[in-house]
Amino acid sequence: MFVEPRGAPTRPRPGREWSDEFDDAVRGLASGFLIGIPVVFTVDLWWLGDQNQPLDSLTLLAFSYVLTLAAVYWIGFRRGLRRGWLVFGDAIEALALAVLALVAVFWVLGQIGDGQAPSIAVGRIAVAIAPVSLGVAIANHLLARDASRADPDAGDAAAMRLGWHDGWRRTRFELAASAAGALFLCLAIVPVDDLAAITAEVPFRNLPLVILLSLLVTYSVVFAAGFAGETRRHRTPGLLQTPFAETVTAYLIALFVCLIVLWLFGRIDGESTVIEIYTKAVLLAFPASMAAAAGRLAV
Amino acid sequence: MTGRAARRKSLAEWVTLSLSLLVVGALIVVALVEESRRQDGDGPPLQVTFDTEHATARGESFYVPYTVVNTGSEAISSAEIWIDVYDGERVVESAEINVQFLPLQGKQDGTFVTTQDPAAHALRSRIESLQFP
Repeated sequence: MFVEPRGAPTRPRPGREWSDEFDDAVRGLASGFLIGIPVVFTVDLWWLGDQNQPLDSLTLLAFSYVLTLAAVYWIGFRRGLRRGWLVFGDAIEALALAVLALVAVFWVLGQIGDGQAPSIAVGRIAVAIAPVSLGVAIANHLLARDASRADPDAGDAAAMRLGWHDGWRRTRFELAASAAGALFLCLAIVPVDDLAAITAEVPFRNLPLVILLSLLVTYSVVFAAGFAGETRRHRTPGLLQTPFAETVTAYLIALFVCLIVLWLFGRIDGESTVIEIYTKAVLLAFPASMAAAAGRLAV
Repeated sequence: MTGRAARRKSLAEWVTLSLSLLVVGALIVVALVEESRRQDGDGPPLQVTFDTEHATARGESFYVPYTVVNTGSEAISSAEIWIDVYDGERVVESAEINVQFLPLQGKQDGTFVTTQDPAAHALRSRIESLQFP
């Protein structure tokens, strides 16, 4: 049994149980991607997973479940106060969402299901699952469901400074936030040069899938996950405020920021081939586009 | 429960929980099957196979694809393998290859370059050393 504050909108809403359930799952997944993907995007973690024995993987899985259980108990990804065994069930769901997210990421990057043994898949998922499942489990706090840049507080400084209802100024502000989010992540990844190893590991033919997953996840984070006034965002009249246009534009901005940072740190230069530049930019844009989405939600 | 409303779990939530149990259960089953397979493994730790049928000649060199598979019961952090090219019972060429980070049942593809025609010679491998994580 679980309880909700009296007078709060009931969730799941009567007659909309399935869509609300889907909404909670997508919110959890989006939060898991936001927190976990930068961690997953380190090749040392992949190699550590490769060397894992299956029993070690099970131990890590159990450890991740305990961590997730604690996070679900205090924060969670569903509305309402969950009690008793429901908390244990929610933690299992968070863990399962993390497994699905990791299977999608590793599959798109050609790191499982592409001739690798099952033990490799289990090892990599086990090593990477804790940050992703924790991300799922703290979805309610990562970005509050009802707080929104599309519906800011009356005293919100950014809203007052920018004139929140001015569509063009808002659009510029959001694009700048996307660039800032992408830059924040690029500055964490590019200097350590994990990207060179990841570039060597990911098959070239998988790069279009990486682009598609980047677009799908960033769309889910901003428009389909129930974060931050999603309904109002869908009907906001800004210049790039159609979901498709905003998602693609933010992705292109993340890609541009990636190229700049790669060039600044000497990872690409005038002698780099087009294929090398394309490969590095697309792979780096995968986590950077998620950070860009987080940046848009954070302002 | 003053000020609060209580309700039961919906069918949708039951379905989600069931699917989640299925996903996590599948991961656990795969790990247990892999552990069982690992404990049963008692063959040589590495297996090297040469694909001489797909060897190509460029100039005076022959490029022979090979695959190294970790068939042992532990992941290998690095391995040194010697490849000998035999003309009858006589070794006419030798070279060393290094393999790094080979997980359980993991495989590493590569190409061995030799000046001897693989169609007329035998290629054999021997393990020089292994390192474990």
